[in-house]
Amino acid sequence: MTVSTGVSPLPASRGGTPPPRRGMSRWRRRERMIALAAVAPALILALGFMVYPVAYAIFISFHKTNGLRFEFVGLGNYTKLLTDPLLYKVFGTNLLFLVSVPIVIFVALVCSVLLYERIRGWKFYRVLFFVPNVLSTAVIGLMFKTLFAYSGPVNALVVAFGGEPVDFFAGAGTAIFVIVLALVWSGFGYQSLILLSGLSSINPEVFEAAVLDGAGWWRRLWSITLPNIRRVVVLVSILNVLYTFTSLFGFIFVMTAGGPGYDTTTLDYLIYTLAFSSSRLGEGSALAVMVFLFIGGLTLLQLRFFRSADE
Amino acid sequence: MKLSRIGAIVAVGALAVGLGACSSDPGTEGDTTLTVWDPGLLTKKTDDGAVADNSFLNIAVDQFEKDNPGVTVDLVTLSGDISKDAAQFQAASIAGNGPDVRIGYTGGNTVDYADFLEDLDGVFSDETMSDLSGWNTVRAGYAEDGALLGLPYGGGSYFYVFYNKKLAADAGLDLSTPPKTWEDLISLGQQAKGKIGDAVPFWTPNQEGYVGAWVMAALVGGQLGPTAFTDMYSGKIPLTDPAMVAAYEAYAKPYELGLTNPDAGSIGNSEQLTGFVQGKGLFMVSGAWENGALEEAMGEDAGVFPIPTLAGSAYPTALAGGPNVSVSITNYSENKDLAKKFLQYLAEPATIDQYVELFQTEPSNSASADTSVITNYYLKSEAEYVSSTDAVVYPFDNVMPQSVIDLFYRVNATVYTGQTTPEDAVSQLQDAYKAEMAG
Repeated sequence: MTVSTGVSPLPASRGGTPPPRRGMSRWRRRERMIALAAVAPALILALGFMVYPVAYAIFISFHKTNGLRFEFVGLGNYTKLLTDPLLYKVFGTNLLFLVSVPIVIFVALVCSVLLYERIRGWKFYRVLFFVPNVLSTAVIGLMFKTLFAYSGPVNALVVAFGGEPVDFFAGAGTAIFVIVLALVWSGFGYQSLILLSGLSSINPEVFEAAVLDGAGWWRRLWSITLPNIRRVVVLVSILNVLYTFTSLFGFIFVMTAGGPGYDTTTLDYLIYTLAFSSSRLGEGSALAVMVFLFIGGLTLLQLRFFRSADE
Repeated sequence: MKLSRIGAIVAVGALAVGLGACSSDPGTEGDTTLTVWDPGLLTKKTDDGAVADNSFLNIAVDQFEKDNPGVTVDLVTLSGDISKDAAQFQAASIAGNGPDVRIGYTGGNTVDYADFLEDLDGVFSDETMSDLSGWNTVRAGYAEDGALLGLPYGGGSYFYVFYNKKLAADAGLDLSTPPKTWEDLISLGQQAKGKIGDAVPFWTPNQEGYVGAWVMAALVGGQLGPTAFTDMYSGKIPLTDPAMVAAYEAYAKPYELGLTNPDAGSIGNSEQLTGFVQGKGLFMVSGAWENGALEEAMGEDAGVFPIPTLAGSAYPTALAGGPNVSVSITNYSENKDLAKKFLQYLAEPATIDQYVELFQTEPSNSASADTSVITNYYLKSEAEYVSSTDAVVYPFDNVMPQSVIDLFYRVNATVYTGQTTPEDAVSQLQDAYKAEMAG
């Protein structure tokens, strides 16, 4: 007796005995169940912690709400934000922070090349460079805030060399300068390791051949090293740009609280301010959605740019 | 196979029993935990973070736990940063995992969170309601029939100028009679400049803009009277009123004239008292909440007088400040009855007397208070000013919606250092107010 499974039987192409269909379908079903069970935890986590919050944020962005009461306002939150000059000022501040991207990549590149060439004590430096990554943003922020305080060590040095102390956190330019320094310091170690992994994939024989051909250090760097790790550099650049738009909150929160005025307020800090400090969750969510779309678009643009440069 | 299945079932069962044993069941055990959040208004810590001996709420909680066996009060101290603590409370309330009892500031800091707070009408006896003052500062919309959102605690903190007597003597200033106007005060600062060593005439840590909030309350209140900011809240007076501009201009003068610490814009409020006690400044604008710590650190070596008003003010002896502390119950609390019992205990005149005695920052708001518990040198002096004032001005940042208050603090800091003009500041405030009111 055969049982219809609704699935076409496999052709007995090789003329052998067809496999027992019942056993096969049971096995397949079981395999499918196992596969589903295997991905279920990840699926549940992705749905619960990624899809649901994003969908909920989009839902909130069309409402005026304080988290409890919801009033549908359509695109009201978006238009309100887009007509608010503060948004453009804050966006401009975020653009200023982009200056950290080439700096951090340059420093990371130099460090990774030095590590790759195994300079004396490279193992120690590899650990040392990574240390900022195990420190929390709050700790790094407080450290830089203390260092650059009016009566802090940096100003003590300035005074020792005959200069006038600078109130770094009282002005937009100097405050942003300190935050960028903190960003570079905290980020270059991790980026160095990413670049180092790219460097490690280059065939050492290429370098040996270049040395035999008389290529110097700079020549090797420009003609062999950089072209071979360009994809990693692209990845690092994209990560840094994303970081600049989405992950400055901790530094800003600890070092300047977005001040003076709104001079160091970034998009992610503004989202927080709108959503929680001002009880305008709808506007905060609308801004979060706008930043999300902007970042997505920017990433695609970067990929396209680097791809065309590659070609 | 069978054995492994049985083993797995046994393991899961054991785990479930273990977890069950770990969890507490208040219903069956009779133990209840009441969570209280305090931003440092009713608690005190020592420099090394330990609970201070005179931390009122810790003592009150110990007593409450003794009186109510099986009850544990989990006292959580927040950062003390008004905006951050408000944000934290809102986020926790949306998630439904905030405290049972929230201690905050009266006015906007309580009223704005009405959606998360229990209406306390009926919680207190008629006797208590008539015995205590300040209820209007914690009612929704500040209306007499608005929902009662908190228990006002204490007779109110007012804003003052404290001065270092030794530095005043060094500068040759006689402050036995306080300056009558803000202009006189600045003139005193100018006289002191250069005669007080490394100290500055006005010690001003103003990164958060709080000093601005206190000075503005006095300067605007002096011009417009006790309803200055409630009238702005209700829209009777615009926030761009010339009185606001004039007040901002005068408030920024000390920095403009080089009479303050140069880093006024980047030093936070936490350094206010420390710096003053260390002798970094002749004058310090702050409030009565400094009384206890100031007496502890300086004894009677400092003096105090109200923030003077602008020359020509309609209310020349206006005093800014008012009820400051509000104790509320969250509407999502699972221990509302116990929380109400806790508030009733706090509202007892004897408990408030204990608060006054321990903190010495403000008098009691109970009509049947024991005034003999006031021993603080500064609080005694302040009591005289409170009794002789011609107007008590409830400040801007106790009245306005939280978003406008946040902006107010920001522009206060930047107006002071000249980064924002007074006209621009009031215009921004008016826009924020309009946006908030338009919903």
